[in-house]
Amino acid sequence: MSGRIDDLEVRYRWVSAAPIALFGLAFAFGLVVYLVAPLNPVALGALNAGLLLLIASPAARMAVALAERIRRADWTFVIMTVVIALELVVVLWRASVRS
Amino acid sequence: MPAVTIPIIMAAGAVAGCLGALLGLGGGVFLIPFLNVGLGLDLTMASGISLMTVMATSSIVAAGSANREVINLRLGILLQIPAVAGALLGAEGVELLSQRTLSMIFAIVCGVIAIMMLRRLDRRNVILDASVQPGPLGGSYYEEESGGQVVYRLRRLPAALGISFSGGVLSGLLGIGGGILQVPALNAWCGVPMRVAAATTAAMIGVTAFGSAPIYYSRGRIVAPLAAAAVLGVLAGSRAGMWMSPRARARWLKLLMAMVLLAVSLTYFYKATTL
Repeated sequence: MSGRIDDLEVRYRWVSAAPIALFGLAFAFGLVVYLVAPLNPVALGALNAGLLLLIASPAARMAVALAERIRRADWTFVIMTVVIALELVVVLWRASVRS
Repeated sequence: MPAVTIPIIMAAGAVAGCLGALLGLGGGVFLIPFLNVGLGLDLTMASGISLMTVMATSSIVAAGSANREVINLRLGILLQIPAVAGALLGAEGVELLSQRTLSMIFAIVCGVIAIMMLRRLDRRNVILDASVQPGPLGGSYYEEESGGQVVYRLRRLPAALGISFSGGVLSGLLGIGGGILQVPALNAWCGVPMRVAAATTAAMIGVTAFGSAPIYYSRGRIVAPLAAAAVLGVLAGSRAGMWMSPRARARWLKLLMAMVLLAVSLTYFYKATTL
């Protein structure tokens, strides 16, 4: 079945695995520094960088899934993904309005 | 927040991650009561931290090879459209509701889903004839309980879309992954086998959480050290859950989920009435 995740396996796994390693390292480093010196700006910087990487990771997976489906000319999937991408743009806009 | 809280939250994250991966949830339904009732954190702060663990669980499920055969990406993407819209609506609406109202919503949702799970404990939704066409949103996979390839078809698509929207609203309001509603409802009403519903939902709830996480972050509702501790715990715990998932029987998964939900429901009914 073309809609299965198997079709995207190689790219999907790479894009999913890299942010896990990155935000995991940022959190581990940030927490160690935080426990030693809670007010150290390096700790909060690393922890916030980890948070932003984590928040961005689903969007990165969506982007690669979209690219792969455009390459395969799976237009139904492409349209569905574009609709979700537009929704996520609205979310970012609402978040930027509040910050 | 004392330093000793960090390892405690990390351990709680590990338990939540294990149960979350096992049951197709983000783990938030277990972590939020711990942070809110156990550690006395504000409910919206607990929700913000929970959203981060939901995203971490989803990343791990999407990156892992376990359950890959049963993830239905096409169905998952379709259901994300109403789920993300719901999550945005929930995140925008959360500040309009009191802690008491949010607690009551949490209690009611958990209670209703637990009862629904218990009533449909033996429903499997699979067709044992592998030659049957699954339709555009169905699929097939090897099922150990049946000892062969099984087929399933999606039924009641409008209901599936409505369920996903409601799951998204709950995700935005309460910081849970939405899987708490989607997994049992897709299984009970839409013909999706428990294992498919759990794996597909687990892979997609990160996107649902993205529908509200940036708004929580911009409001300062995500406490970075606590969220980091919970996420590191989840990274370890969800691997254990994914290892256990193919080995667990669907009936026991449902029973475990129902029992946990009933306990959470009772806790929040009590909390809402005493606030």
